[in-house]
Parts: sequence; C-alpha cells; structure tokens
Amino acid sequence: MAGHAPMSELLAIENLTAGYGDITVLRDITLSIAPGQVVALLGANGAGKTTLLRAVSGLVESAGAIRFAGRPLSGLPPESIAQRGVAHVPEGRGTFVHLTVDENLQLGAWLRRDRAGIAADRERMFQHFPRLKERLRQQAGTLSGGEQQMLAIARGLMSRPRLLLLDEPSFGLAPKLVSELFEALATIRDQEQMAMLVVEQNAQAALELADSACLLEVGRLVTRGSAQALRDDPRVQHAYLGD
Amino acid sequence: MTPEVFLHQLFAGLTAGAIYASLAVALVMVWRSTHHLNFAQGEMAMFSTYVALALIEAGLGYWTAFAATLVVSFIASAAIERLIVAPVARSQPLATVIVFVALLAIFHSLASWLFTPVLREFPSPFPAGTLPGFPYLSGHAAGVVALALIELAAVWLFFRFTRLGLAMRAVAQNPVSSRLVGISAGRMLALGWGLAGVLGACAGMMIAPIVYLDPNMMAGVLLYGFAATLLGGIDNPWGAAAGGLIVGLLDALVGAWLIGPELKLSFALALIVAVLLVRPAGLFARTQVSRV
Repeated sequence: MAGHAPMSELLAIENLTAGYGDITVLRDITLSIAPGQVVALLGANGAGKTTLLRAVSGLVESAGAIRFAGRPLSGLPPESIAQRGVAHVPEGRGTFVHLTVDENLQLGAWLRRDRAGIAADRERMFQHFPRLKERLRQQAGTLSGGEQQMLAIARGLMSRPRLLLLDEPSFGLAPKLVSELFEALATIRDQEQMAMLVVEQNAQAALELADSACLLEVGRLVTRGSAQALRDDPRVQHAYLGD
Repeated sequence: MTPEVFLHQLFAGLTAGAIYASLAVALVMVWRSTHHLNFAQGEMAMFSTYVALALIEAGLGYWTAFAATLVVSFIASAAIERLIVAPVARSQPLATVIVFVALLAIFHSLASWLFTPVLREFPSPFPAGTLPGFPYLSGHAAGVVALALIELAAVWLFFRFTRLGLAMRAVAQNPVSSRLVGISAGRMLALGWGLAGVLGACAGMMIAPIVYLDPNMMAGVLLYGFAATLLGGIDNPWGAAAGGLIVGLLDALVGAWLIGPELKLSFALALIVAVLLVRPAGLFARTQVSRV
C-alpha cells in the first residue's frame, strides 16, 4: 500500500516534534498517508496518539514539517487546516451538545456554499447513519454515546474532507455499537475512498478497517507496516490484542 | 397605593426594564465570548450616546444619527475586542478584567474631555406627552419598550435563523469544535462584541432623554444591568432580557409601594442576592443536558 512517490502522498509528516509548553509528547515522527488510504494509529495511553492528530489539525504547536496535498500546514490555524480538507473528529466527540442534530450537520458544512451538494451529502449521512435522521430535531446532548459518535463523524464528513482524523471512535461504546460504527466506517472508506488516520484502543476493530498501521510508544513511532503485519507483530499482540 | 400611582410606576418600571434588558443582553454577548462581565459596557454605551448627540448637533436627523451611531458602536466594539481584549486574553486570561476596568476609565475620561461634562438634554424620537387613552404612559416610554422588543426580536431571529447566528452559538458552546469545522472563532467573538456595542448604544440613547446625558449617566444603569444578567442567567440572552424586565418592575413597584425611593436600589439588589442563593445559575439558566 505504501506508495512512495512524494506527489502521491496526501499527508506527509516529517520529523515532527510536538507537545504542550515545556513537555514534549511526540519526537521525530515521520509518517505519510496516500489518498484513500486508512492508517490505524496504535499505542498505549499517553503514547502521543491524540497529540499527533492535534498537531495535524493545528490544535497544538509543532516543529518539523506537515504537508497536506503538497502544501505545508505548519503554522496554520485549525480553521484554515479544515478549509484545506482535513476533518478532525476529536476525542470525546466534540459535538455541540446544545444544538440540534440538524444544526450540528449544518455546521459541518460551514465551509461550503453549494446548497444542492450539502443537501445530497446530508442524505448520504442518513444512509450511513439512519439513526441521525430519526433524531434530527433533538439536541445532540440527548443522544446516546454511539449516536453522538455517529453525529461527530457525519459532521466531519459534511465538509467533504480529503482526510478524516478519528480519535477513539469506539470510546465508551457497547461492543454491538462498536461493530456497527466500524461497519459504517468501512462503507465510507469503500464508497468515498476517504483517507483516514484512526486512533484506537480497540486494535482489533482498527486493524480490520485499516490498510496499514503504526505503533507509537512514548512519543516515538516504533513500527509501521500493513495492517496484517501489525496484527501479527508480537508487540501489538502483547499490548492490545490480549494474548 | 392608588391605581394612578400603580400605573405610573408600572409603566416607569417597564421602561427602565426594557433598557436594562438591552444592556443585560449586551453583557451576555460579551460574557459568551470572554467569560467576564464587561464593566465598561455602560461607559461604552454612554460614549455612543455622546457620539449620537454630536451627530444630531452636526445637523443629522434623529434616525440617521441613531443608525450612524449603531454602525460606529459596532465597529468600535468589534475593534476593541480584536485589538485589545483578544490579545490580552491570549497571553493572560485574568488580565481581561483589568482591561475592562481600564476601558471604563478611558471612556469615562474621554467623554469628559471631548464633550462638556455637564448634564445635557438628549432628544427623544417619540411623541412628547402621554399617549391618548393612556394617561400614565408617555410617548417616550411606549417607544422605548417597542424599540427594545424590536431589538430582542432581531437578535433572536439572527441567532435562530442565520448561518452566522448558528456559528456564533457554536463558538459560544465549543470553540475548539467550531474551529475544527472551519469557523474563525476570532471573527465570531468580534461580531459578538459588535452586537453588544449596538445593544448598549440603544440602551444609552433610550435612557438619556429620561436621566439626561452626562459621563456618569450609566453608572447606576449598569448595576441594574448586572443584576438583570445574573438574575436571568448569564449564559442565556432571553433569561437576561426577562431579568431586565423583572428588575425594572420590582425596582419601580417596590420603591413606590413598600419602602420609598431611598432604599429601592438596595432592596432590588438584596432580592437578587436572595434569588442567586437559591438558584446560583440564575432563574432561567439552561439545564445542562448531556450524556456520555
């Protein structure tokens, strides 16, 4: 899967270092994602997975180079990075809990002006996540955790991104909902050739969705390979797959 | 209390309440963007009223001067947020309070320096005298209440039915998610300040014909505005507007009826403290609904 011609890379991260104030969380990360490729980002709590997503979307300052579709992202504010085509579904979902489901979806399309396209995409979201249609006029805060996660993903997709950053989509969800959610993500991957960078504690589900995966340990990228190779990697098996 | 006195006080209370409501909604707008009460809101409104008077004296018609004052107030407030408040808040959040106190002092002395600091008459655009059929309701009082209702309706329609209004609500709730969907949070904060400046200017221009214009005009009014905001719920513009009406009515009726004018400010504020002890988030605070 790893096409190495630079122009074929959608996201190219080189020697990235990032953190909060004096605390460095990520060191010397180099990672690339091709268009349409799904990469799972595995690692223990505190390994720096969330920080890596936040660095890409501009929520934390970083040193090193991040290029998206050939143009540098470094130094841009999050709203400009969103405009370039990166949608970040943050940890804890980040839904607007006092706004309705419909308003959350409208906000997802904030950067767009094509009314017809937005309406069509909204319908597409209802195909991926039929529950959202039933709950359209409800305040997002009254949805279940799983429904809020679906809403957060749908909101991210409403911007027609080229790269979707997902931070722990399975967090706090019942197993049945997790499989439902990952089935929807697989459909989105196949139908829309959507590139994704997925942070997950549920390595099993993430590796089934992903083409390739990488493992972070205390802020460093220790291995990268195909999803299959990582599934067989003893370090991953030991830490995440429970045997 | 005779019915005449009651009606007189009722209408006076409604008029004051309408003005407090405008100011309270202005305070909520700033609160939503900065999470501080803007101590300078009253002085900014007073300064806007002086601008209006200067424009009227320069020969503009009342409503032209009124509209021009709203535009100036919008731009000046938004610029204050962008150029002073936002940079300070980024580097040191608590310093925002100091900025507000400084703005209060600056607008106060600027007004005294630029305009003669004596009581000035300020015109009302509404008919003089009482309304036919309502012997206790003056034309100005009716106009003030009508204007306040129009303002609040406009604000409601803006927040409820426009893209920008939706984006502003989103930023007030969750600035990080707002930026992730591509909303420039900074611009929305400046817009909120601009709207607050407009509402404050309306309040100033409406109260000036009643209390006369001078640099201290808004000191007491702002206190009632704070009370209205806290009473209604600081995060909720409609609660704050209702709080304004309640404070205006209570102040007028209790002052006339029970305790006389000397103690009425203290009584109104004591009552508000009592309410806040029971409902700290205000009478109309939004109940937090969320599941995890």
